[in-house]
Amino acid sequence: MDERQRIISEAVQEEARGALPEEAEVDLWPSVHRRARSQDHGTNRADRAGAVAALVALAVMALVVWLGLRQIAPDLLADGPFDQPGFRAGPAATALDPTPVPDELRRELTREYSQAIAPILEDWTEVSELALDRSQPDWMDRIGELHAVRTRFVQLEVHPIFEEPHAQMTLHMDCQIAAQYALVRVEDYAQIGVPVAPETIFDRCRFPTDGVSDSADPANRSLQATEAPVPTTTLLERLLGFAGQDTPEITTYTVQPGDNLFEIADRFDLQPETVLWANADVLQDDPHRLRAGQELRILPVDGVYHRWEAGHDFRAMAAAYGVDPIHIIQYPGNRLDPDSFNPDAPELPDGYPLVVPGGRREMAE
Amino acid sequence: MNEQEALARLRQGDLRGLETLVRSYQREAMRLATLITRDRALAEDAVSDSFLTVRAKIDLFDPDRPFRPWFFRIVTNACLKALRARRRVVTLEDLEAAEAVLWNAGGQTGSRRGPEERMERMEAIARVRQALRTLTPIQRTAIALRYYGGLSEAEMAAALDIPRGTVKSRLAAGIGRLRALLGETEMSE
Repeated sequence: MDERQRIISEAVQEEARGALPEEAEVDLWPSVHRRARSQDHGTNRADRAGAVAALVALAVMALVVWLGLRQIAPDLLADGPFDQPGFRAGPAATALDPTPVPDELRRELTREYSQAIAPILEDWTEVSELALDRSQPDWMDRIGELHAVRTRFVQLEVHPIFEEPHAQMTLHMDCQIAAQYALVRVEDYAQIGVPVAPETIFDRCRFPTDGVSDSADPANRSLQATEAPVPTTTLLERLLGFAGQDTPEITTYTVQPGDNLFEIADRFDLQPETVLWANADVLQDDPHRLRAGQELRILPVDGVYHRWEAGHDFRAMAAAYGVDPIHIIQYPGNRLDPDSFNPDAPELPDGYPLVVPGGRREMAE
Repeated sequence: MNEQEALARLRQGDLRGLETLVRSYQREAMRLATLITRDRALAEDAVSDSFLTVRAKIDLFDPDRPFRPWFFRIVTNACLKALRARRRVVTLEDLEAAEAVLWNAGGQTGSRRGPEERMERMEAIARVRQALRTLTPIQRTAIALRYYGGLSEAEMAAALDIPRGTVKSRLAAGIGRLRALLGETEMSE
């Protein structure tokens, strides 16, 4: 150790002693003991029939939700929404960050973030699938591996704009892990070589309604779970809301001196046509009309921008752009409710802005 | 009851084992946690949580390895969690960055003996203490583990998780060093 290190060491020792002088009383045992006992209490109760039933009910619920999601939103379970090219942090994520992040930086951050999570999500998908193959003798180990993957995911350094979706994704992982557990008989828990008690799993999987603080007492917690369980809708909404965060606002960009259409398109990861088509009112499909100071509409994905005209035929409009109406209806950025929206009788206000993902059209002469 | 017995008992679910561990480690753990959190109440919660974690994860603990570094890692994790730190992984780069800050604060001091040098040294220590408070939570953790916990660089390296896919730019800088410390096997995992 050199002199500089010795000085640091002494400073740290002094600081440590200052934080807690020798003569200061420290006795954490009573509180640790109390909490340890109350955990036991919870666990013992969990062994009793009623609590086990509650546990199983929760597990099944998680499974049902998970299977349901597999139906409704297979992409969400398969790869996670991040590696889809159109991913942008949604309103919830932005709300966390009081200072707006410039678009350029945001795209850079998104790219970095996607790169960081992609390999983890790949492993996640692979291991989840392996774990489902219950004919393999070591499938239980796979659940342990899922934990490990989750841990890697959680430990990533994440820019604040991604904290919310990151947390949501973590919840989703927890939900899947719970679903994996749900496929295990309760008596098998003891044999699983992963360091997680079932109650911890369900703890993770709880989706407390916003603002309700957790009860500190785990025994009390499982009681709550028995009496007022199944926030199924909340869970679904959250996860789907998360899918919705893929959402995609139409943004604007002010043309800078020296910009050209191709550069602008490139900057937003779009085809030049997309930019051109979305700004027909300004550019009239002619790249040469681009002038510094113009405000351009930037779509979140490649496709066509369409301002709805009341009374028109929705299906015909979709057909004109060469897409199935369902792609427009399901596109989160359009904020249409796929369950209730009727393409034969669209109740859209005149002028409602629609993004037609993947849509194409002829150029105006 | 010595540490080995305490751990063995805890493994069998005997809370007296835990009590022994709490009594022998609480002061040191509280100091470590206070160094990191700079908040006595947070530190107390983090340390209590850590003992409960020890209990919950005792089956994962390899009895052939020393308890102290393992436990310290649990404590630092709990502290960073309490601070809502964005990451929980402390790297050697963090340690180096923090050391650099503190070295600068300390300034030049000779190791000569004599009243003036001693005075100078005490002042340097005071400046370093001051600088300690300006570090980020991750840097404080690195320093606390190394200089208070007395973990060797090897022990710290062993405690490092290098999640695959961590932003590559961050890793690139220290990777040669890490390779040497961790050995090829762990890096290539």
